[in-house]
Amino acid sequence: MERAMEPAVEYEIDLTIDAKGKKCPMPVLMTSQGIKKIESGQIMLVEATDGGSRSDIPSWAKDTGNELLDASSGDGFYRYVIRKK
Amino acid sequence: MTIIAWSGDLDRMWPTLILGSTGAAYGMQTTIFFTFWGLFPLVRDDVRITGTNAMTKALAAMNRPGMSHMKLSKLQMAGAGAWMMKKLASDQSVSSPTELIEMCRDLDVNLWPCEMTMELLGLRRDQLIEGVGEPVGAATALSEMGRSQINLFI
Repeated sequence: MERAMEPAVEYEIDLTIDAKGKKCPMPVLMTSQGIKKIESGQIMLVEATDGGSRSDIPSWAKDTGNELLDASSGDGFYRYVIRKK
Repeated sequence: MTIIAWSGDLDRMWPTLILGSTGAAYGMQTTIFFTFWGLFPLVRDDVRITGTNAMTKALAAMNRPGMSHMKLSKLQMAGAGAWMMKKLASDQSVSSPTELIEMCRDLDVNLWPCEMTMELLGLRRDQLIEGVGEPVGAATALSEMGRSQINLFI
């Protein structure tokens, strides 16, 4: 993580995916399932503890065209805020 | 992406299912073509014996079908190795092959059994788990590989 603090901007979250405790590849799989449940422009929060998610979620967002608005950590887990394309 | 799942070994099928489900999560059209030993894990766990004659029945007896009954390619140690591997995975919340194949189905991975080897090994469609596609031939698999940017033989 580049920084360990709360997101500077508060986002209005439409869906939260709790992938805490899940190992690779589950956080990415659950992220992919989650994105199908929201509409274009809506925002999803993914919470994960797996260290692999630090590279996997940003790379997933890049490859699928969804926008990673924020990546942060704190309270023992990582948070990814993603806007659906 | 197309993966040819040739092996029924736990330590080959596991990464096959990890890569297959992750490929679909990445938005790739993903196909897993199951052939030879790779077909046996697709058999439902409750089907003990498959086969249409003495030889194919003996094959199933010596090589128990089902996703929960896969063996390690090394350090199998009469079952202790596979058990330990699954225990380690479960302790660390790594998803089991059964969970991963469910994920594959959910993420629309094409799960294609090879028609010719199904007949050769005496496996019937109704003995396979739900969500498996119609059995197809080598040409269909190759045609899909021709359209794929990533092709793996595991």
